[in-house]
Amino acid sequence: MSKVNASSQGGFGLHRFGSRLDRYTRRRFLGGAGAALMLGLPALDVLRARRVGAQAVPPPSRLVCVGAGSGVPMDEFVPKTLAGDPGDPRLGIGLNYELPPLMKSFAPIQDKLNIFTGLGIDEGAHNPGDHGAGVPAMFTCAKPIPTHSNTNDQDYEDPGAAFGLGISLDQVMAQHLATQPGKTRIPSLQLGLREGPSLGDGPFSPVYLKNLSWKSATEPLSPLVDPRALFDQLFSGFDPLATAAENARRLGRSMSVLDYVADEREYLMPALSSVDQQRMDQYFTAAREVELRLATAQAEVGHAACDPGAAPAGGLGYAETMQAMSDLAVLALQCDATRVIMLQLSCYRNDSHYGFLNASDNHHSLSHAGDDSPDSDYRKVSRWMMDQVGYLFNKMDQIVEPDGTLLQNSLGVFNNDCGNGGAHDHLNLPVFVVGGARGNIVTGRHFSYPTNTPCDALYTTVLNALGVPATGFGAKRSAPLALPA
Amino acid sequence: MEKSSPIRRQQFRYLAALAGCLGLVGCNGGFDDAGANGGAPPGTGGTGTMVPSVVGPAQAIGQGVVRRFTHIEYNNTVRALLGTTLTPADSFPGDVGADGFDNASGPQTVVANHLTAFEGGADKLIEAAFLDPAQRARLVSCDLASGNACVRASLEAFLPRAWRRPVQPAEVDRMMGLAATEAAAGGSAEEQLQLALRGALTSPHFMYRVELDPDPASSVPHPLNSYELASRLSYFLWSSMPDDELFSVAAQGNLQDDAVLGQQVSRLLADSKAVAVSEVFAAQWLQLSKLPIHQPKADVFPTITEALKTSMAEETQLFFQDLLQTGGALRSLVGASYTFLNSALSEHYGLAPSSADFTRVSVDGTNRLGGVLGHGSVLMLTSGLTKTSAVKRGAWVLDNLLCTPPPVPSADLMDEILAKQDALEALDQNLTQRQFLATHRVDPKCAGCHNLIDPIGLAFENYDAVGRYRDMEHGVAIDAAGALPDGTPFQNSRELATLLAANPSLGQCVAKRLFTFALGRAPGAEDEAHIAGLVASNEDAIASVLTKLVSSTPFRNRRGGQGAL
Repeated sequence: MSKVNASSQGGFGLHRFGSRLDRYTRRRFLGGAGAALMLGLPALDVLRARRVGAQAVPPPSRLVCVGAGSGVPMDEFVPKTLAGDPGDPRLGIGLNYELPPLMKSFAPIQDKLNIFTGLGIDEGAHNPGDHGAGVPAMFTCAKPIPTHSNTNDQDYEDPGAAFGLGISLDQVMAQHLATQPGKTRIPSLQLGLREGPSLGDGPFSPVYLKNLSWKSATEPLSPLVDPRALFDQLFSGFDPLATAAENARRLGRSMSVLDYVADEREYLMPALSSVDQQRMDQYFTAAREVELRLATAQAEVGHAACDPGAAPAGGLGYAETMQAMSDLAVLALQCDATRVIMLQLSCYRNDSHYGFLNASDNHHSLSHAGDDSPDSDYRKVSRWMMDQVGYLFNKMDQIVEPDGTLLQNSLGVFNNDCGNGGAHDHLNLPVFVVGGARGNIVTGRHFSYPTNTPCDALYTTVLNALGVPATGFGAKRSAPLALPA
Repeated sequence: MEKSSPIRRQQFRYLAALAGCLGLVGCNGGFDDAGANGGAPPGTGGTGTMVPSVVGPAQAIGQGVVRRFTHIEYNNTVRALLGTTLTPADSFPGDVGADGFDNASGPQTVVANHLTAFEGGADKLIEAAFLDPAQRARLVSCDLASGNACVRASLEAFLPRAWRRPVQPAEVDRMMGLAATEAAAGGSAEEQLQLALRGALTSPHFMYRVELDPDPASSVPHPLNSYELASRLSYFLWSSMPDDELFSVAAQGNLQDDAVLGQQVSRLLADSKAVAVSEVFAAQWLQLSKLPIHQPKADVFPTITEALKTSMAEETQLFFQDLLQTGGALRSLVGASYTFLNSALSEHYGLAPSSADFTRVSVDGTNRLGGVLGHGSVLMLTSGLTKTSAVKRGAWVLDNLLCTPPPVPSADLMDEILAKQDALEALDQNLTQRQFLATHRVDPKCAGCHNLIDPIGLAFENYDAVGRYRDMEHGVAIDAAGALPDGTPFQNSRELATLLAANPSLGQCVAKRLFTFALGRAPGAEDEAHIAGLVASNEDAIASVLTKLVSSTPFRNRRGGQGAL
């Protein structure tokens, strides 16, 4: 990569890149550094620069997952079929449905929206612990391993119990993209709005409630909850005001540090106990992974389509954080810094308080308050949350790419740990898919299925539409959901 | 479950009663062995002195996974190490935590985002350090114009503090190799040193408190070395790195001596940095971080501001710290006769005006309870946003003070409750809390458990949802009388507090929470016997429990052996 782009200035930074690459190729050909092999070091040609700009090959379709908890008012979500609907009620397909009130912010993009009713993830059912199981199951369709005795999280922990779940939908996509040429600098982003307290639900540890994105059964990916940290991750390695040489040198230094850290593996690991080795292995592997990411980095920033603008302010409130995260998520996709995003909204205890909506309690408590009045606090908060999700996807539809809008070239998937939150109903979830994956998925439909039709079937369909050759997902690995046109 | 022990015996005074719930259709519980057998706990004795560590034939201890910094520990550590005012950990991936504390090591998995954050944090810290003459002087005390020699000398001075142990020449050599990559890119000696320092702060030797076993495959416990023990001690009591004096004691190699260890515990507890015990341990144990998002409805409670809630958190922290540092007893957690007030709090509580700054104030002769049960923080966090919740308060006492959390209703029962919710809500407008909960006493599916939970919570009805005293609710005089699960009666919250202060489960529960925080893991079966020895009675000073914990086998020793994360 560096040799292709070597400028007349030479650039000591580029020289550093060159030496970095030489070390990688040497390591690979000599078969050394198990870590490098374990990471599946790509062939040398994919380390070449991928040109960005007007002549670029359009990036593959993108995936944005949004997860929330404590259900939605289902009577405001389930579409009502309009008279004269040319859809087929026998197949449960609605073409002309009235946009449900909860989804009113999606009106401009209703033609790109698919609403699903009847899908379920029964792995999420566990009493006590319906959220402790429901939240992690939302995008993994896997049942979490209990970590505590069955009453609540303050009991003695079983020392032999390790936590474990399964890979999440977004990470299946990210791992597929990692095998393809022209990778992004950031394999995937995990965003959230707030850290929750370190408390679990039922026999399930906080680790399950705080993380929607799981790289593997034992590797959760913590969300960033500070928009400034997200901005840093997206843009600090690439100062648009700096020269290419300066940026390269800055990257090179980070790579040297990470290379040094990763190399310490051979000295520290032999001295450790086996549990500590398992933990430290993650540390060294992660160091090498970030180093490799930086090696494939390039100046994404600085062309017309990607303008970072000002960094977000600190100390933002809940509503401002939501908007900042949405704006940065769209910017990240626009800049092609990543193609996979998971956004975690309020889930159980990481909730906020909606005083700005004049609500009397947090969202989870409201879901159990049993207030069914037309403008109950639960309804108000749920509507507000869905409006924010609408903002995000509407904004994606405003980004014009050579072959369509960003939304048309992506898929957004929304799910919740419950449908009816008060009843902890995991069998009728409020699912929607928005966007078209470049026409690989029909849109504008209401698909109505029998109760507890496995949601993993839809996720497999979503993956296939995004170009991921999956034959099944989650614990059940059902056949893909056929979506008749 | 685990084999029985005295802790379990005392808990089962309540659990046996709660287990009565299990016979009814509704309740769901995990208690399966209410039987009590087993011998006297080892190692009990003394009142607050260091108990000699009885190692003998290898006393089994549990095993934790190597511990990484929490946000608080990282920020404290870099401040102590560099003199920085930056707090890079604020934007690190979150502390997942477990068992109520952020510092649980089990869930501290590592993925790429962590390394991006740690490397970025190190970069920011070193960049800022070299722009500040005071910080730079700590890092460089030779002339960098001499090149490698000064780079190496600076690293040899820095690394033992940063990694909290002596370093091998080979480790310094490798760090010089990192510096050399900067030299190869044309960087100055200063830039080379900066790069090496960034590497030092991104290294697992900095980010983790590495502890080694002579035989990593053996599960026989062995003593920590002095440096490892020093780190355990300082991170327990200060949530930060050892200071120079603790390092020099560790360098003597005798920190495991009972007398030396006892001196250091006393010294660290007396240091101002020991405020971490209340700001981190107690604040997390009592869940004070929930206060900002707990927002009582403004039209019902217009006087509750963020500043007042901050004052409430401070009241609780100051109280706990005072108990700790003045030899206050465990019983005083709920039985003290004083608290800490500023003017905002004294006004809120309806007491004689206090000074603008916090001072210790006696509550004798007032209608306030002493101890945490009288704190606005606890009373508010155990309430709803418009009214009190006796169920929340009762469950809170059982769970957080006695470590005997009540069982949760079964799914079927929850359906019934939700179905009845509308009717209950309609009645709610005019009923007192006690009347509102009458169904709990009448319906056999509820009574079994709620007769144990509700009376405790109802005892506090004299304190409203924001912790203010009241005699009446909805025009009815408050009846705060009730009985404990074992039948002991009380007339009001004051009498209940006295009973709780004398309950052995209180002391055992605090010991268990301290263990969990100090070791970064909940106690396992092998640890129970060690916890039993930490508290002789609730007359013990809290400081003595901490001291005994430090002197205990699980704290001073570790083991390797097979195990899964």
